[in-house]
Amino acid sequence: MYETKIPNPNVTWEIANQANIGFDASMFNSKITMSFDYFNNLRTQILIKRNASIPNSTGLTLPPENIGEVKNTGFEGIITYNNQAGDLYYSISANGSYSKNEIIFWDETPGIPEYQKSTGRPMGSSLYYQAIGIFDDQGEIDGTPHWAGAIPGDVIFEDVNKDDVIDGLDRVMNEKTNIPRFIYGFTANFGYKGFDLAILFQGATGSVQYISPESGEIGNYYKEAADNRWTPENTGSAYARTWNRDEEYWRSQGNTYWLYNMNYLRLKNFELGYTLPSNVNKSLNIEALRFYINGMNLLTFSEQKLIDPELESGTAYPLQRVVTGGITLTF
Amino acid sequence: MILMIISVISLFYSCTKTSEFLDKKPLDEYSETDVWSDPALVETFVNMMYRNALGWPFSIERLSDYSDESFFTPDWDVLNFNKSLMTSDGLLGWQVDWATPHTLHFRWDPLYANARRTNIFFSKIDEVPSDDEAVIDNLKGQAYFMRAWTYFYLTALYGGVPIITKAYTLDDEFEVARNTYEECISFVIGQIDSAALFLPDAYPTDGHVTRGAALAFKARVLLYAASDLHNSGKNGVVTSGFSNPELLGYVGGDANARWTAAKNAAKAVIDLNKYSLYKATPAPADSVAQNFIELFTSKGTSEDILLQFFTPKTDENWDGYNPGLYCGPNGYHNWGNNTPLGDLVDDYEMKDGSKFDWANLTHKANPYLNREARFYATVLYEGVQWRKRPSDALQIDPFSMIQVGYVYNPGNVMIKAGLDTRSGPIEDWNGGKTGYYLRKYVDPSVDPQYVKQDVPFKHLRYGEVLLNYAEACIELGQDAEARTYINLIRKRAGQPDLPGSLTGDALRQAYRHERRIELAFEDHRFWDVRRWLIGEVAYKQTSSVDVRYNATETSVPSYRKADGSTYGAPVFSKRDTPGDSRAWNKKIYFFPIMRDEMNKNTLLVQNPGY
Repeated sequence: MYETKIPNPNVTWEIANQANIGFDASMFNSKITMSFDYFNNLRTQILIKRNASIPNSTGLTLPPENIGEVKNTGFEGIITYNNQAGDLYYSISANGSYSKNEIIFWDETPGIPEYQKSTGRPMGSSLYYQAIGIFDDQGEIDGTPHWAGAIPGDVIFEDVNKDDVIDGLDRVMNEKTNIPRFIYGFTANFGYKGFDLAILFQGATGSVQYISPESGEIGNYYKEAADNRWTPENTGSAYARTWNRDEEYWRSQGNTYWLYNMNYLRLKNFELGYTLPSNVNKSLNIEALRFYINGMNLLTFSEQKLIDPELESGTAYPLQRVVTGGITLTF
Repeated sequence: MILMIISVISLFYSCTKTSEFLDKKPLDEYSETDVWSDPALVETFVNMMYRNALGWPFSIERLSDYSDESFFTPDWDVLNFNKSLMTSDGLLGWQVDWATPHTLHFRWDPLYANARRTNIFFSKIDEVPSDDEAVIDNLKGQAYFMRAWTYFYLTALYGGVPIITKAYTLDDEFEVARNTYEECISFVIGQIDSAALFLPDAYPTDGHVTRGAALAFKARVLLYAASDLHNSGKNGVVTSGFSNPELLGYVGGDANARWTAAKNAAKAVIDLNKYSLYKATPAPADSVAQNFIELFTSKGTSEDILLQFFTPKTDENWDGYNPGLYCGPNGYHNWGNNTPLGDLVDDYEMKDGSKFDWANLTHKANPYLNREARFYATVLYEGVQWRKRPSDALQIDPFSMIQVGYVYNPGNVMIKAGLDTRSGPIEDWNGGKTGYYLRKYVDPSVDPQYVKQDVPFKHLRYGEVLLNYAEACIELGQDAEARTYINLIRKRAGQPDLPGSLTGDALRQAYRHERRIELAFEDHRFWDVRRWLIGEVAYKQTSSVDVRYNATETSVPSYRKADGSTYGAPVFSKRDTPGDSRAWNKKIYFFPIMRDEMNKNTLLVQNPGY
């Protein structure tokens, strides 16, 4: 039996102020249609715990209190163009959604520097040391503020506050989280006589992921990092030396060396089909016959090559590339 | 033809309305009011203090890994702690929080959370209705004990800390300054004295604290407080240049009086005539090693003063306790952690009381022959018979004898690795790196791959009390008295008496050696090397053993021949433990208060060096 939390008798509902402005338009005989929406949401009295400001010597297990304040702003839109030229029918569309999440008020630890505060940054941000390269030799270590015990091949942490010591004050609250800021897509549909073609691209920008494998005695390394790793012969590398589990400071201390941009653009779907003309159908005594070939996840453009950028975790099984072909026959 | 739609601007705001049918009690929690009106519920609240005060001494990562006793095979940043790299931003392996290591509770936050439990208790206990005053008194005694225990370990880690006895509410002022070390020790002793008033004498077989436990704990507290680390006449190495030495120890005062208090406190336990060493005088036919194995696999003996019990019901894997699985060799599908260091193994005496020495060729030829009994009860080593191997390993080793060595051919190529090495065929990543595995506290009658043992951990035992008494005597110059009590320990261990000529610092060193051996893996050494100010002795490159067989064949089918003999005589050598280069920094004598806590409570003063 233990105290799960102390009571907060003043608890009340969170308040959400949601405002949006929409815009729908259709022009040139509906050849162009568009729709835009801007939103600005303010959530106040969000229930959060004052863990950051109340000393742990109190021993308190804190209850949520109505103190958080967060703003979400952004827009989403879609524009579509339809047309016909002779036997060619086509429709092209682009859509996008941008959203920005910003903390207006949060429980902060008193006395921390501005660059470590949650306020002004998105929810879910984390503090990271700033990785700015790899130590090439002992001389470079000696001439640079460094983590105690650093050796060549280790990751350089930036001395953010310029006090010649690398410590917790050199951690910076990250501006990005694993949620993308901007999600977008393109679709195109074509029809020409019996042929039809559908293409879907999708992409996202503005998210990061922390990918830090427990390599060494118990796990493997990513190939790119292993092949290009720093060695006394391969200096100037962007990749650190080999490491073992948590032994290196740059593995055990959260830092941007392991943060990867998850920006990507992907050919999500591609389908090409052919439908037999109706006069042929009659001679075959069928209603309809369509041949098609379909591919999913055929192409991906991504800054990082380690994991599937569409997933929210580096350990999830990557999405599969699927190619199917088929015949649809209707009697 | 543009349509414009301005859509909603809306505001959602609603409040609850209390009505009776909504006013239900939760089904999975008790309300505060219910708890403090039922002594049975209060008892469960007190029980929880035990767990949070005593921690998880049999967890996968142990306190022994943080001193010169053992090596933690998977690291988890323990190596860096042992290189003295902790800062106020991070305690490295000490605070690994995904497997509930024992060290996780030896920190500011959980200890203060436990202090709060005691504070809530004392703010409420007088309201609890009870027909039986003895029940309430007993609960008070336990809570005083747990509060003392909690603050004592806060003090051992940080020096003087804020003494907080109020149960805070959300509207309180939270900033509070550190009390001096002396104030903290006085507070702890006051709590122990109160505990001793309320607690029953009953012989402890169920894990509850008793009056005897309170008195034995008091002896430990006073011994620590009298030690060099907390004596301004001795601890200059830590406090020089630090503006608040009163936070780390006594400034001035009478050191002799403190040693006398420690001595008297230990004597008070002895004079209870309640406790005795288990098999204090081994019978001639006894195996002394077997006596020790019994002591450390029993559920309680005349020697035990405070035990922490575990039940095999709990089914968690990484959490809690499972010493057999965590410490056992990989060749048994165990995890090979907390492996004894060569430095510790080498400290076990020969049976005749002489020192083991690698330079002695007879010793080197077979380091495990004619060692003292406690060695055999504590360590698994090359060639020792251990429990039957699991079926797949039994095919490789039908003899079930520990294999930590390697077989080499005449071309000096390693041709067969032992089952219990890091090149063995079974789960090699769990192989130990020191050439030894831990036996103490491991129950050989259960198969830890599948079954949890239920051996209790000894937080307080009479053997420690005798040693505490001897230490205080030595520091008071009462060498003959000290020798008498050390010899009780040695007699039980089957070792010859210390010679009467042993006095002064030589006796002190002999005592410290005895304590290291007798109390190995019982959570003492970590604190002892600190309070004795011998950090630089304990934190250095560690050693281990290398075992090799030089076969005349170019390849061999197995580690041992079919008749159980080996490919040539084993060659033992002392070597550095790979990767375990420890280093001492004097700041590590005390822990840092974390940077965030310093920011949240501006009245705090940081410890030196952080």
